[in-house]
Amino acid sequence: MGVRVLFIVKELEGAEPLGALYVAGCLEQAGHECRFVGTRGHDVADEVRRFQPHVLAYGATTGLHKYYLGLNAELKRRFPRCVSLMGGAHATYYPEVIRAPGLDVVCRGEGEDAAVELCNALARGDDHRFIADLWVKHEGKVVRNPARGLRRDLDAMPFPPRHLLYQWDDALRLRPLKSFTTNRGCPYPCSYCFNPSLVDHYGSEWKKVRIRSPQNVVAELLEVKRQGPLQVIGFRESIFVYSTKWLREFGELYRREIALPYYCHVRADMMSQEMVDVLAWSGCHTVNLGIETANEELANGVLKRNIKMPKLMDGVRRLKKAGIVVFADNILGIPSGTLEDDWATLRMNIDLDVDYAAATLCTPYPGTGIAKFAQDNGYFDGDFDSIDDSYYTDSVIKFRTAAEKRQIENLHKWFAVTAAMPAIAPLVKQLIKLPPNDWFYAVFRAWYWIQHVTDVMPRRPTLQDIKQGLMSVFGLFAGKDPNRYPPPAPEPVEWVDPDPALRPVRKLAVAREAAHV
Amino acid sequence: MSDDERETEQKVRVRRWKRRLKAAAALALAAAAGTFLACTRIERRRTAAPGDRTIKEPPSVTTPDAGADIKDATVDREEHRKGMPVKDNLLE
Repeated sequence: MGVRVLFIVKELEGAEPLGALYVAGCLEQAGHECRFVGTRGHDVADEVRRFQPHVLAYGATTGLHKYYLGLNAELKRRFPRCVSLMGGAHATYYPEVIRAPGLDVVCRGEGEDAAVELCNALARGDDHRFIADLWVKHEGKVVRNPARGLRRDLDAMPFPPRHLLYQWDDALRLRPLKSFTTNRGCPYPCSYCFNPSLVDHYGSEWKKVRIRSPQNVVAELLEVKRQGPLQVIGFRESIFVYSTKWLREFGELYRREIALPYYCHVRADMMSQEMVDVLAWSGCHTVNLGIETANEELANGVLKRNIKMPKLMDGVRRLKKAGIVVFADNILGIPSGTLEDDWATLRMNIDLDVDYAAATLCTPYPGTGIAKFAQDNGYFDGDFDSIDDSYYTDSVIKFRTAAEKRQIENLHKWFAVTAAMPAIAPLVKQLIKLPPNDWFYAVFRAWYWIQHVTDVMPRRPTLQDIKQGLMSVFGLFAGKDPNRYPPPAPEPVEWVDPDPALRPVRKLAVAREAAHV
Repeated sequence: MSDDERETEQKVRVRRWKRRLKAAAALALAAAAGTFLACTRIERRRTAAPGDRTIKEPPSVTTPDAGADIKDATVDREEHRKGMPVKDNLLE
């Protein structure tokens, strides 16, 4: 008999938590029972009382981790026999988060096999401290287990069990956009991305991209299409396509069986004419690519993109000429960059006529090269808890002056709409000198909403969608989140690095059946 | 230039002009939204007692978010500043 695992997800109504779903799929395959719970408008403690999970699972990015740590501390206070498990980006790059009171296990890396091994051990009442990829806290000691090997055959993995989301809220099944992944890994060393940090964890194996077969991908798409309405498909891996041969094979199947517009992430400098032609032919409606900065020195020196600007621009032009919608990512407020650099980046987006010029404020996530650069050069004080769970608010980077910081943060709110309407640029140059205000955030959100539902990921919005979008632009949200608790301060622990030859096999006093009430 | 290429070029041109118009509409919408948000902030200051600090309300369980009716909604400035207005945004 297996254990019960409750996945707690803030904003479950957002994009599908694919990482957690893949873990849940493997757990279900191993005989464990999984459930998902969203936080807005629901008291998670009620669900814990109902479901009586053995394991509370969270997947956290940096910033969001604070929310989960606060909630977890409260849940552990009320249900102390639950084992709490945190995976996701923050736990992978900053496993020291396990010092938070109430947090029992962190999982670094992909998580499927480690979670199965953990739950199997809990089900048998075995010692669960020595499982690869996990850092496990017990009686004040944290065992820091090493990484395990990567699963090479992604086709053998069960499809993400989306029915677990629909069980929680059937409205999620009715969403016209659903997301998928076709590969894992990335060979590029970009310093602002999590991928190089996974190279630190797994070794160079991470750079060898593991790709699902076209047949496997299309089989999943067909299964999801049978479950509910589908208008647009999103592929969310770091880079969708590395091989024109794979894309052609995928495109043939996709056009025959699915024939819906899709979006994907690409690298602009990989966009040969042949690859662009096959993307357009196969049904690609929108690509997301990184321009990031117009300053080639920043792009290669600080962001480590290994990219040539002329090749990037050629790639964007080819995509535009093929009629593909281009959603360009840009990073503002790069450490050692300036406001003038950010204006130059905006001008490049305008010159390339991108359909949506997205911008984020550079955020030095733990474990990333950009965080190290920022700390080593005095642009960031290393306080990762000061990082917000959104890179759309303000910056933690130090700039030349407070005025420059304010202008960069404000430019961020105006960036996308100014790229769409370049005539307002002279006015924006003056507006960004003002203090930050709700009007600037409204500009950001209004344009984001309108352009997303029309050009970037076009869908037939229902009246409900329109109402919700308008309400969010006006800052109106239904349903408070009753799960906000202050995150606890970290506690001292003793670090233990296990000698694999000396792992004891003994049973700890872990109850198989947790009594929660 | 082939017919297909001409057609695509026309499509891209039309998309560009539509983008300008939509951006103008977004600015108008944002002006209204920003004014509304600023007014709620002023209203909150006016109703607060002198010397009171902004105290975070204790969490309260509300009815689930199905339906998202305007009458059930409250201004959540933190959510407005952080999150995305397109809940199923797959690019995040």
